[in-house]
Amino acid sequence: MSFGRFIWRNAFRNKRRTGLTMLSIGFSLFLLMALLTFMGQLLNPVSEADSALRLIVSPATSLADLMPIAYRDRIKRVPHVEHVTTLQWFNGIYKDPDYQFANFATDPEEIFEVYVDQEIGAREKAAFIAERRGTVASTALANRFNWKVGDPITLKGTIFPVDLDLVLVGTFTDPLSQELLYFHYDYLNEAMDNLNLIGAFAVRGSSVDSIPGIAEAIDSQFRNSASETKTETEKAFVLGFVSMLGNIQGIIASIAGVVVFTMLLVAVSTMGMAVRERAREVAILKTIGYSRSTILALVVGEAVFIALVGAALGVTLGESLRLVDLNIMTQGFITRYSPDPETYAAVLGTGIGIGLISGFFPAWHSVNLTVTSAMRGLH
Amino acid sequence: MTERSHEPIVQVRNLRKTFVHGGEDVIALDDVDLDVAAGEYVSLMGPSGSGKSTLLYILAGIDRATSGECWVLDHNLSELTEDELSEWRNEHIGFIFQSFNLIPVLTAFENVEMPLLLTGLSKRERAEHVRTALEIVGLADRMSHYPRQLSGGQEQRVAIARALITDPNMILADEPTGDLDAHSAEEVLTILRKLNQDFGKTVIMVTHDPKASTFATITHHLDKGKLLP
Repeated sequence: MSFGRFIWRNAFRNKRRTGLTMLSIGFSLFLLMALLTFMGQLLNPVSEADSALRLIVSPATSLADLMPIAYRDRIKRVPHVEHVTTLQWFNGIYKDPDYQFANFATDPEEIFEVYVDQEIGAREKAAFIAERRGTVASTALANRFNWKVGDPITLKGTIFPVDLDLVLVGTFTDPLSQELLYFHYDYLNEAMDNLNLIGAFAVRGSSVDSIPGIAEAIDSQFRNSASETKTETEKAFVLGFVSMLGNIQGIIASIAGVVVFTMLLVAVSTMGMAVRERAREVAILKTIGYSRSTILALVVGEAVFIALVGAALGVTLGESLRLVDLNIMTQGFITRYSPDPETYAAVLGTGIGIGLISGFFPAWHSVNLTVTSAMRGLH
Repeated sequence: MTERSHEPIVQVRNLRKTFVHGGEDVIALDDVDLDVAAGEYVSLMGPSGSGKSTLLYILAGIDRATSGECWVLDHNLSELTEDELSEWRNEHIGFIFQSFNLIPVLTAFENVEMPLLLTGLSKRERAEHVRTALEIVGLADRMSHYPRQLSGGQEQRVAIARALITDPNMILADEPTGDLDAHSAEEVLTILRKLNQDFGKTVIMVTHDPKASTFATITHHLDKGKLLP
């Protein structure tokens, strides 16, 4: 026998209790892992290297405001700007309000020049440019609704008081498997009686080094105008968008904290019960020569073992989320599940922490009982 | 750690143990003097509450005297810390409880092996020692049995094997036959005598059974915390 085997035997002397404790820790850490992963995704939404070359120009006052479409040509003339496309969030409803996906009015000639990581076939791109009512969908979106080229797609306007009758002319791939739909800005503008306003431009610079200069040049160009602009990196823009949802980080951190703390209380209570039942055996161990530190290590080791099995269960449950289409489940809010190494470390660290704390306090109380007290049941 | 050389391996002087019970001071041991020479089989007898088990626990270093001196195997026990006492017990003392106190989730083999996990012996060496100890107590065929699968007498014999597994100088037994039927008690007492006579172990046994005390070479009587002359 070894100390490890002794810990194993003790851990499973009450299989039901140990199993339920492992499950409790497992589900709690699964929730923690999911929350941390989603928070990480929300706070680090763009991970492609290509995004570092992109800027988003929006009205300085608010994302809800619009700016003149004429800005497009002026932005194009800014040094080091290679491509500019309109990007108007339409928020149209397709058939049912529950069928949420991102749909943008944009420039067919430019959109795939700015977002080069989104790939479209040459014939499909040409068809998109040629057909005024044409629209292209990401493969994730097309697969979701089983769309085929030629299918009519009607978007009911929510922000803009118009319904758009579109025709699918092609699909494109998105590296993040997002559900996206692009259609002609000109078609929307025409439907809006040539409003000639736009919510945002996406700009592609010639190099990463040129990006800060471009941003400054664009904003200074429109400073003191009726519609001042705010130009920021794509990542900063998306984070600003997320912040409009409220203090997501604070909310998620609070939920995670409550989950872990509750789990800690459950684990301390369970280990306390297990060790209290064994006070007499602790006295036996002391009698046959076990030091307090050795007994402490055995009890804490048992608690850490239980917590680690729970953590492994939590990680396994977390990994199973890879099999779920979160894009559909969350209606595009969460597009993927890919925990980073820090998240795994945080979950395992929390598991070990729960084990150490839940094992230490009851063990400390137990090893400090005298043998005679423990033998008489005076605990 | 203070050490000195003495002929008696147990030397108790003016030992006093008091504790508070129900708000009142209770004297468990009152000015006890005791010498035990190596190789003796001592029986401590007395009625319940006479202090005999308290004296045994102090000799084993698992309880502490209120005052007085207690030298065992050249160690003044009152000067040792808890962890030093644990280490000392592991090396020198085998302790047998009245109610066996085996660990229920371990087999007879594993229970006996427990004290050896603290030593530097290899797995094979430990296994040899355990087999030998279980053979001495006549339980070589019960190694893989759990305590619940053993009779009371067999459990106590496993406890004796656990007590002698580290080859201690002294075996201290607290009413080892108290929970046993007459036949099992006889077996246990015979084994203790064998350990004393054949293996030279010093045995100090607490009992209130006059028949059990006949196995000892010396019997001391305690009453109301005093060692009777």
